[in-house]
Amino acid sequence: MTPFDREVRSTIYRLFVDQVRDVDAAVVAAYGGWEVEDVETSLRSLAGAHRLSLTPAGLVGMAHPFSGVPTAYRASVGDDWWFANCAWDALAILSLLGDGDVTGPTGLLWRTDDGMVDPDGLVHLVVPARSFWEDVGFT
Amino acid sequence: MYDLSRDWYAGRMDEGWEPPTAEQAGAIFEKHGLTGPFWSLD
Repeated sequence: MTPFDREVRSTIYRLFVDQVRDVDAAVVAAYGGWEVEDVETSLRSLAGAHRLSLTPAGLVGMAHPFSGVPTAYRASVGDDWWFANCAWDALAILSLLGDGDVTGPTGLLWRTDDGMVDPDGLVHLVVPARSFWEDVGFT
Repeated sequence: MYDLSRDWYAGRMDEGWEPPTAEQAGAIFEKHGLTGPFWSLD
């Protein structure tokens, strides 16, 4: 991890928080004022270090807990919303950005108020922690 | 899960963030009652 990798990674989070969709090397480079090729190299390094994942098309697919591609799980705070990688990550987005709602395949799953989650719910994890990154999309 | 998320993702968006070591991750899981082989990173 180089200082540039860290800066790129930080920029990706800034873009996600700002609800920029379809984040790829060109988008990151434009935001940071960098060369696209340098950002592409950095993205590959970050993906190799499990700091994020890339789609085959070169989009940032995951910068946990955010998803860069549409999923069935969303977190929303006020009028802002983000795709999450899973139910856990949707709650995690709220833990980072503030109280709001989590929706999933069946509709509203949870609402948080001052960090309290309502209603109680169940998240079923099927992949052991040591294997989270073996197939992170499945995880 | 929300409380776990707070600890698991603490500082995640910071430029200087580093992934937790296996020991640190285990401590986070254990703090939230998540123990046993499923949660082991060793």
